[in-house]
Amino acid sequence: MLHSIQPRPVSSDQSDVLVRDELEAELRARELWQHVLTKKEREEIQRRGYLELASRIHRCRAYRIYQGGDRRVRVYLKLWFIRLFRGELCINPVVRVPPSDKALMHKLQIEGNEAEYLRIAKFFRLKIWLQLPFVLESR
Amino acid sequence: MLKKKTVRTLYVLSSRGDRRCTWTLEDAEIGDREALAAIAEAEAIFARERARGSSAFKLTPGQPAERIDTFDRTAPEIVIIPRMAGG
Repeated sequence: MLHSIQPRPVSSDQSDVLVRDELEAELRARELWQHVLTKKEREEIQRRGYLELASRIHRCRAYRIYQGGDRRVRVYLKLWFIRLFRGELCINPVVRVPPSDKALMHKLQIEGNEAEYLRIAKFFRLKIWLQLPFVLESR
Repeated sequence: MLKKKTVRTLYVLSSRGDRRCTWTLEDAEIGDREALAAIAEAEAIFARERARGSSAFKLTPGQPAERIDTFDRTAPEIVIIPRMAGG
C-alpha cells in the first residue's frame, strides 16, 4: 500500500530557531563580505547598490554584482563612461548559502577563476536589436 | 626586536554562514603545538572541501582573489566556496 509522504509539521518554536539561524548566518556573511571588500568597493556598493568588476580576459567587459546576492550578475560592454547591457549570468551555488556569501562567491570567481565561471554559467544574452533603444546605461 | 605576528584565517562558506580556522605562522615556525595543530586542521579541511568540488581562493590585501589548488599556510586569508552550477 502506498502512503503519501506528509511534510513534518514545524512548530512555531522550531521555525523561530530556523529564522534566527538564517539571520545569524546572514549577519556573519555580511561581516565577511564587508571585510573582503576594499574601502573603495564598499563606497561603490553603498552609492550604487552594486559592485562593478572589470573582466580580466575580455577587454571592454564589466560585471555587476548586486548587493545582497539575490539578483543575477549582469554583463556590460564597457565603452569609456557608458555601459551597454549585454545580458545576465545564471550561476548559483549547489548548496544554500546566505545571500551575502553568494555575492562574495561571484566576486571571488570573477576575480580568480573567470574562464571556468563563464564556462559553467548560463549566459542569457540580450538580443542586439533590443539593446539599442533603451538599455544604454550611463555610469 | 619582536617579530609581528599575523593571524591567518581559513573561511569555509556554508549554509550557516562561514566556519573559520585560524593560525599564526610565526608560532608554527618556532614549533608551537597549538599553531601546528591549527595548520594541520586547516589543511585537512582544505583537502576535504576540495575533494567535494569546492574552490579555494587566496586573499591578499590590495590584490584580486587568486584561485589555489593546494593549501598555502602562508596565505593571509583563504576562502573556500561551495561548487557552483549554471541555471
